[in-house]
Amino acid sequence: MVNLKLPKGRNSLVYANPLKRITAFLLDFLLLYFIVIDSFASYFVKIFPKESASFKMSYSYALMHQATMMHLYYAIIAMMAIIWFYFSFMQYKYSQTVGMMFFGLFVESTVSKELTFWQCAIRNIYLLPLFPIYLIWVISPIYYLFKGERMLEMLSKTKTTEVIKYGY
Amino acid sequence: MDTKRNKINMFHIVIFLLSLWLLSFLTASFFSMSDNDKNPYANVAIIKIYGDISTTGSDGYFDSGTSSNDIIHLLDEADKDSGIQAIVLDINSGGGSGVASEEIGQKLKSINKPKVAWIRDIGASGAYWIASDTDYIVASRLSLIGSIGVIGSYLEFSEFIDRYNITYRRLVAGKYKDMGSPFKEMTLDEEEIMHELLDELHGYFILEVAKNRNLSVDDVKKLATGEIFSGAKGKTLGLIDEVGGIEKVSEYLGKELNITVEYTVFEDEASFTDILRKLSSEHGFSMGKGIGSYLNNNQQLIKT
Repeated sequence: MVNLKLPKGRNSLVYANPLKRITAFLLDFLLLYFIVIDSFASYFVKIFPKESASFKMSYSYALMHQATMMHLYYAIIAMMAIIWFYFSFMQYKYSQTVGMMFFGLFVESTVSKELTFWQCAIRNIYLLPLFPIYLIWVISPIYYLFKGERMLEMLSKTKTTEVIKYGY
Repeated sequence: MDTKRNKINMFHIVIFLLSLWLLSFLTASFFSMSDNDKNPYANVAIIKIYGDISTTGSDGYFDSGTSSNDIIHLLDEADKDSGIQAIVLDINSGGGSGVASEEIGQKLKSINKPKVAWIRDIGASGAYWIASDTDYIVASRLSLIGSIGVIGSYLEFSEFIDRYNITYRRLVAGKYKDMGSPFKEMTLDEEEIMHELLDELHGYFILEVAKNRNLSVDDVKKLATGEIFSGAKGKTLGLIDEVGGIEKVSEYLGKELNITVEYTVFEDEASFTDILRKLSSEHGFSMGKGIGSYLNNNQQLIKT
């Protein structure tokens, strides 16, 4: 028999497992809770008086204090903008966020060898709670059901991949 | 297509995450300090008079005084607001500019709604002048009030500069043009002029308090030594109306207007520089407080 001297093991880049992607995303959000969200938490708590313990009371309070609710909305936009920057920058610089590092997931460009910042910014834009961006939260899952890929990945010409080792 | 990837540098990632944290903290602090929504059901406005009182307000990032311009603007807002039936001045100030205090006092007199002064830690000198222009003064028994006097003291460096052979070259047109200059010794006639001026201002202060508090000028003169009084003593002297806190203010206004008092704070919307100033003064104060506390607790350590 001819010894073809094939390598014993191989790495293959495949589309990432959705479960791994979701877990990586949750891990990132856990990290972001301590770094970003916690800083805003005391402000969010301060907005509502202690008496508004139930959702109904908080909602009534919100209706009566529209200026305060606008402030709250702007604060949420600022917080999500920082989170969006985290995802965009990390994926642009290292092709992966901290959560993705745990699962060996990477962001790849489908059109060139180098990812641009704008590609990463667009693929994560759903994080910004602005109109019409938050319509993506409704459209994207429907698109995924029919096409099997994220709408924003299609628009940003990126994909999420993972390294599969076999033959080792 | 294999995307080109940068090597992971954990140090850079940590620095990036720390920067994100700092950015979040500053942004959240900004929002926390800029939010000042009014209570739509409020019928009594609270206007704060904290720190040094001046006509133009604080200059630096580490000051937190009160400007008479700002207070007059807020009083005007409260006066024009048809929902507001009374005004409470939340006072915690050792005084400041006589002109600023008088400006606020004059504005208070022009408002027909009931006005109450609620003195917290201190309501002295110019702050007391303002309080006396209200209809009712409430202070804690532990508050410091009074200091009905005028001060014009300053440090004179004339001997100091003589010691270092520095010459003060006096070039003036007008004999008293450099009166009060810290670089020359004050002459006897200059001191007399200054004292006359201070006495004149003192006189205005005494007359104002006597008129506002329905006291005789002679009685106020006896109190107007610049002495600080406790809130409890102030009541016996007629300088305040009631000893207590906000509940006494509510009680008075409730009886006077036959309402259930609902407060809202009237304050100017903080500009970006106001917020930066407040942030740096609060953090500076906290840092100093922490260092002071640490040094205090470790005094024994330092001595040995």
